[in-house]
Amino acid sequence: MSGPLISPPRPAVSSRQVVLVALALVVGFVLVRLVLATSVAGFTVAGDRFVDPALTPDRLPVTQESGGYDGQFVYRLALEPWTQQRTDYGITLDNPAYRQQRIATPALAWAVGLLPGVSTALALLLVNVAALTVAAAFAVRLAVALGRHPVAGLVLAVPAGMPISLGRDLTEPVAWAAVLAGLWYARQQRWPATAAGLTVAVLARETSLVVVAGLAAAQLWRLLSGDLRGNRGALAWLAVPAVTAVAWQLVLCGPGACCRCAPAARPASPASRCSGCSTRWPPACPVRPC
Amino acid sequence: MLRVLDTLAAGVPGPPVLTAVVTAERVGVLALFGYAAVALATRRAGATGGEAVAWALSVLMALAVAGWTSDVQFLRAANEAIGLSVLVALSDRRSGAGRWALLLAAAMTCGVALEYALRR
Repeated sequence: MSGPLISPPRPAVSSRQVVLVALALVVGFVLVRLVLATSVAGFTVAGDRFVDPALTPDRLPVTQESGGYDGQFVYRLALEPWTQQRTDYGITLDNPAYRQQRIATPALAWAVGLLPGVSTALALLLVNVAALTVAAAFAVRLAVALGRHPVAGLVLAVPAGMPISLGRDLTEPVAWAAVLAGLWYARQQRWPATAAGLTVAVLARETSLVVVAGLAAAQLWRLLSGDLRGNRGALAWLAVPAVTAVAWQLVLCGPGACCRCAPAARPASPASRCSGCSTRWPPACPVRPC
Repeated sequence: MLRVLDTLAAGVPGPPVLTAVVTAERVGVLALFGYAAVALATRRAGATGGEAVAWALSVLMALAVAGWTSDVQFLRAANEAIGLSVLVALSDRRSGAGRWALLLAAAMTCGVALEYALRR
């Protein structure tokens, strides 16, 4: 017995081809920016208020009389993600705890930067290009699952602000790719994978917690209303990214962060917060030497 | 939210064309939020309950900022809200509005990409 003569209709373009198109578009954007706007190191958008280009490992182009933009701090953390120094490698972190809460992108770039011949500036760019490709892969899956053409997934993969983030070495691409992975696995009810994706998302950008909160609230509502689709296991898994985010905040801003409040940053009045650090002074914990 | 609306037509540094583009982006983002709100409220969209709650929280977050001062600032603050609004549009196959919302979101991304391919 032979198979059916008429095979089910398939889109003219496969999901894999759309992801490759997404990669080509992202690389194309980077190349146009490299030709017309700036160098690889220029993606950090460094300013002289925080960056001394003579001391940075890559030769960062620095705008004079400027505070630069957030990518310069992502770059600094990509050089040494677990740093406890406010100023190092020629770059001063304006608010160390705030910057380090978005640690996923710098940590990934730090790892990629260990490869021979890959500078930290290039590593950051590669991480964000890869992240948007991953975002496209999950966005295309979601679009197809919702009955749309795979190409429609490209709109989901690259929200309007994403070209800014790619062009300025920011943290949104990793966060958004991880959010889309989390949403995809949540639709599949694969909660450990959902938790993994959303944990990366909240460590890339704390605002991703709204997605965790949304998914958890829906599960809680189902449980409370007796809907059998809700389950405690899902809630437990969704607690993982939330607990991780809170724990990371405590590491950065809790008693253990006292050492980041350098003598020069201590406030004049008691119980005020240190400059550039959320630690109250005097701290409730012993001050470790930095 | 009132401060966001107050800054909707506020100028941005640069040539008039940049001011016009950024103002159009702001209006476009609000239109996208409005569409998604209607699609979810009328249950046209096939988004899950979790996605709908996440959308609402992300929109609240985007509208809670002190003001939409420049495209760099407000588009980043609204990233999750814009993305989840697009997800709502993808899941709305019962009306032409979903397709228009996708076209609007795609146009905004293309516009920003063009601007930031050239801008330092």
